[in-house]
Amino acid sequence: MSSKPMNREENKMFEPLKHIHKVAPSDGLFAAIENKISKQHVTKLSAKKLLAASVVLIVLIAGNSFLIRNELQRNASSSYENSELAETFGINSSNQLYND
Amino acid sequence: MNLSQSIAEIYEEHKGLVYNLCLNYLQNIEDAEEVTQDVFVTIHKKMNSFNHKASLKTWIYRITVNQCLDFLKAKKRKKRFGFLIPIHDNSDSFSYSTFEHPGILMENKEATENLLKLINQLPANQKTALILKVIDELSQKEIAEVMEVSVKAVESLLSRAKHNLKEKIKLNEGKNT
Repeated sequence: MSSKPMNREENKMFEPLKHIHKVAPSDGLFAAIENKISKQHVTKLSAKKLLAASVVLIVLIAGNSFLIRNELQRNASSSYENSELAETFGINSSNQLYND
Repeated sequence: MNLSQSIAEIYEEHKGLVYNLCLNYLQNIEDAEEVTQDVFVTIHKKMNSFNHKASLKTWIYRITVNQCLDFLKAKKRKKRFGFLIPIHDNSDSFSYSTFEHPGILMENKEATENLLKLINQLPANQKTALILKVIDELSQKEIAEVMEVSVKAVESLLSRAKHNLKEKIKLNEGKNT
């Protein structure tokens, strides 16, 4: 293994780091970890549930857009029919009833 | 053995390694404790996908380094969002909390703090390689496994880190005189 030893200059440079002591974490740390893990279990959504929810959402969006499109088409055709009828019978279709 | 039991065993065996690496990387007790928690939550989450290609210790080292880097990035992002950091400033100095390292004795505090602050200015991969080598005393092969690079790359990273650090020390000495 090519692990080069440090030269004197580098040894001096890193001298302060060699006095860093190992410290033990606080006693309550594992309890906090367990708490985080258990919280994750509660909030975790299974893939199946996520898939089902997205399918429902897609169906709802598709249904709504279908209904909106139909409504728009129906409105367009009825306004065309109305204007044709008004033209045939010479009915004024505007709100302006009196000619100046 | 259920998952909770095994995480307890892993924690007992590796808590010192994780916590001390976090402390050396982040230099703040609160931050180190937060990241240590996240490391063990990640270990618990990914335990089933651990493929035993590397040793458990190497895998834990890797998770710890990645969590520390993510923590620093998130902290910087938060401060940038609060407009504390200008957009063009890419230095990491804003990511660190107040220096607070319980493993450093009072008489060495100033020198160690100054050196660690200069190490914090190095690029992340150079800093990681240097901490693992000098403080954790890992071999270059072990560092290569943790960082998922070749031994040659680690050698180069360490050499560049030492060179950059020397330059920074010189510059810092020049400023102080």
